[in-house]
Amino acid sequence: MSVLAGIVKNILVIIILTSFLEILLPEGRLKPFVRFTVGLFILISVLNPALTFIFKNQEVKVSMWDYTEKYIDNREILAKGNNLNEEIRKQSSTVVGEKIQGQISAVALMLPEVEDVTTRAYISDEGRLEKVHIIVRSRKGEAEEKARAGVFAGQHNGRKDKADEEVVKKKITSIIQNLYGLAEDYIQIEFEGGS
Amino acid sequence: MEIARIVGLALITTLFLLILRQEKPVMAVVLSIVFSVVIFTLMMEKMSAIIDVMQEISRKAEINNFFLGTILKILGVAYLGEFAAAICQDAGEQAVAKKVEFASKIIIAVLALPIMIAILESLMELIPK
Repeated sequence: MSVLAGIVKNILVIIILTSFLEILLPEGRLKPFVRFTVGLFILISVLNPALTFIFKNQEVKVSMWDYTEKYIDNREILAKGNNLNEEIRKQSSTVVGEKIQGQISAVALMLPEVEDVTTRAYISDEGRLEKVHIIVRSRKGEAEEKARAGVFAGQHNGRKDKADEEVVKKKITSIIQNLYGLAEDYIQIEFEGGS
Repeated sequence: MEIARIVGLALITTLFLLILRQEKPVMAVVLSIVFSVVIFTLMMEKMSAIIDVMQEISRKAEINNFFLGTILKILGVAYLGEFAAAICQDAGEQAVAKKVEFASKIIIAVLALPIMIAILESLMELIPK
């Protein structure tokens, strides 16, 4: 019974579809030709489910012309698969990037001179780490001490700051190089409020 | 309002065509072709929406995609043939218009053949040997 109901439903859809096709037909001398083909289309669309119902698994034959449709279907499936792959790759790149950012920040925070770190990791299309950009904030206690030391010590403190920053920079660079095998040129470290 | 745009364009084209037909008939034909192409391009997006809906409906009705594809191709051939024939008739080339119609008819017949054969083969199998 449900099979019959399905066939009736499909025939109803076919009738609506072909009525819609009818209004799309061009006016003029070609109209009878197109109407004839639309008629064939109705016939085959109704015949197909009926045949499948009467003779199980027997559909209207499309012969060799059916290959074109299969080819189109394959292309559609392949395109959908590629889109899905692309989506998965993008999502995994984002996850990998976030994980690496977290790892680098955690390792940099282990240094006593570093108070806070903001890391931005750039991941290539193949999912490899391409470049790292790190913004480091040094410990505030030291800075306040330096401020208290006075105007005359200012220049000396400035030089010392630079030297400290260089030391921190070298440490972080060497850690990232050892962990991810990234060349020094691709590791960019900046100090907040400094150089 | 898209129709207002098209109507405006059609009226302006008609006016120009009226003038050009008397002065330069060749330019009138060119303008007619350009107008056809413009209308066709404007309607392209809407046509693709219609085709998408039809394909979706046919998928739900479990109609073989091949048949609907063939019908749509035939519709396209018919429209193009009619357009071309009308342009040729406008230019006063009745003979060329007839040839275009003839070619369109043949192409439509060739495209319809697989559907016809499919029906015939299936009907033949229904008849007991």
